[in-house]
Amino acid sequence: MTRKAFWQGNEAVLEGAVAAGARFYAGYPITPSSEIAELASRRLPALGGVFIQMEDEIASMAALVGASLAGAKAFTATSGPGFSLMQENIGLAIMVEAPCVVINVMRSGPSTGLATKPAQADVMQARWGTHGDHPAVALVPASVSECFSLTVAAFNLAERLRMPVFVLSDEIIGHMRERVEVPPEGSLEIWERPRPSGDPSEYRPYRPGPDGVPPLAEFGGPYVFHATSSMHDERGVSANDAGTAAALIARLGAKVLRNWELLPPPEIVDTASLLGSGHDRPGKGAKPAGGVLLVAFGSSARSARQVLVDHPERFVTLFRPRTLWPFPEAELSALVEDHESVVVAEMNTGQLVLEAERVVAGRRPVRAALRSDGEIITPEEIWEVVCGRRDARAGRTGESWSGTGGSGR
Amino acid sequence: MPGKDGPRGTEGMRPSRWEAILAGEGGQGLVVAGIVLGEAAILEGLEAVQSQWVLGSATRGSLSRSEVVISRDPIAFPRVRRAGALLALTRAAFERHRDLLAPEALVIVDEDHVPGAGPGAPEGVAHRLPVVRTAGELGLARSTNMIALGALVALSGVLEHGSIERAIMARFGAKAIPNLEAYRTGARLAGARLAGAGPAGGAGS
Repeated sequence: MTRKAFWQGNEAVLEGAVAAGARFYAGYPITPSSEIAELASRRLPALGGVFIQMEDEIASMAALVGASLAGAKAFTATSGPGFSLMQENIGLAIMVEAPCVVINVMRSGPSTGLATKPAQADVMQARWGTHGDHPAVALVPASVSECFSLTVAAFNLAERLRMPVFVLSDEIIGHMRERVEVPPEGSLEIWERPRPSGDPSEYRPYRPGPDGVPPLAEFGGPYVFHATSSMHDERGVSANDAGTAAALIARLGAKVLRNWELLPPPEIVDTASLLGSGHDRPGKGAKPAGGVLLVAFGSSARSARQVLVDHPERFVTLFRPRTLWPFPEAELSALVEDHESVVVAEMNTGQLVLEAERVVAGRRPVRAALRSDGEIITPEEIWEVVCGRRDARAGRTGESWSGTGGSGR
Repeated sequence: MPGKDGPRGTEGMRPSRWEAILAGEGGQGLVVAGIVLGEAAILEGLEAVQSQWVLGSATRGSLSRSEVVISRDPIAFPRVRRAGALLALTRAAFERHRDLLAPEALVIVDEDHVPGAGPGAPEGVAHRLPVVRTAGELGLARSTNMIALGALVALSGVLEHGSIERAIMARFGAKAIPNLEAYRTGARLAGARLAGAGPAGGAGS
């Protein structure tokens, strides 16, 4: 039976990990993620799992790779400073295709920043933090309930795609409590990594299956294999020739893109759907004047949603990615021309807005509501930008877009 | 009736959102009091969000703030914008949050720790209760938060006492008895003051 819990976001992350089958945690505690480590230290040993407090985040990430290749569903939790230290071995996990989950409860930076106030400034770090061309999958919960469900999804994706998957939470979502409908044990869809069968001497640890993902054996079993951080062929043996390198780089990226339908889809909500039929609008096809497409994720999306609640008279559509990387570009692109402008709200100096601009591609003006002082962005700040009275980026004021901007003046 | 425009009310199309701040010193347990309030709201089938204000390192003795939003409808913005209720156990807690009060907000202050007159004194409608002193006198100092919660719920009518008591039992288990005793003490304290003080309600009715 479903039960109601009043969990903290970090608690829901841990429970989601446990429900997904995670039994190995290696980490170094850091606010605002420490509750995840604390709870993991109690829950995992009781389930026959492993909790290790490591000497630092570099070692934590290395331990995840080892545990993963030995067959465990492995995870860690950290915040910006620790996420920085993990980047090298995140690259290793990508290269050896070790499924694992990294929770980053974002806080203000750079460096130790405003310990430990909220921010959403690790958007691009999640995409490009480790060097080299590589795929990235990052999920972004906007509620405590999603801290649970998207953590389950992160493990599922990590296993299915054989790669590290990130959950980007933040101090606000991580530390607030709200209702979670906890699904009954055994009711969740849990995915496992593809495993080899057949003659162990024929096993090729990096020969992809039909979905681009190779089956993964466990260290210590009959399938003996080699894993290396360097370019390698299907046998896992180092190979520096151009053809092997090109094929591997292409496959690592393609295994995510060809499994696009597995990624949690964005939530798209407009004022009418949010407030119910009592607030009628022109139906589909009719495009109300002054429509604004509002893009926000995580805790900023809570403030953005409040804008819709506060201003039912205004046509605003909220586009809320649940998967931040790869960015749901087709879904956003399809909405752009139904609106007169696009507004991106985020708690940084302008990261996701760059991606939105790429997708909008000049078809509509793009404005930004930004905040990077360690305080939550407010619905009022976002409303000012929705109305076209402000644009957080210098030189791109609402005035300069008065031809097509909002109708708020 | 204090709660009629709050989350349990059903009058007209009024917004159902009720926002409260519980503030005092780190160690007084007000974060836990906010959690119990949120858990009780969930038991009543309402939506609730509880969060604590980050002040850097919140340690024993420093300013602590627990926020609770309760609503019939899904809660979008999770933080307090205009508090319908403020419970302040220290002078700093009152002064820091007075500007966040909605008009006709319910204000409950500790009468020994928040000045009754002069600069910094609550204006208008504050309920002044000996929360901290009562906890000490009854040997319930560790349950100061539940005395405060009892007063807040009694004066706001935001939730049923039964829901809070169920939430206390669920949260504290074997230690529920002193917490229930403290909660009821707080509710009685508020009720007695309300009966004795006449129309100084100010509970947003």
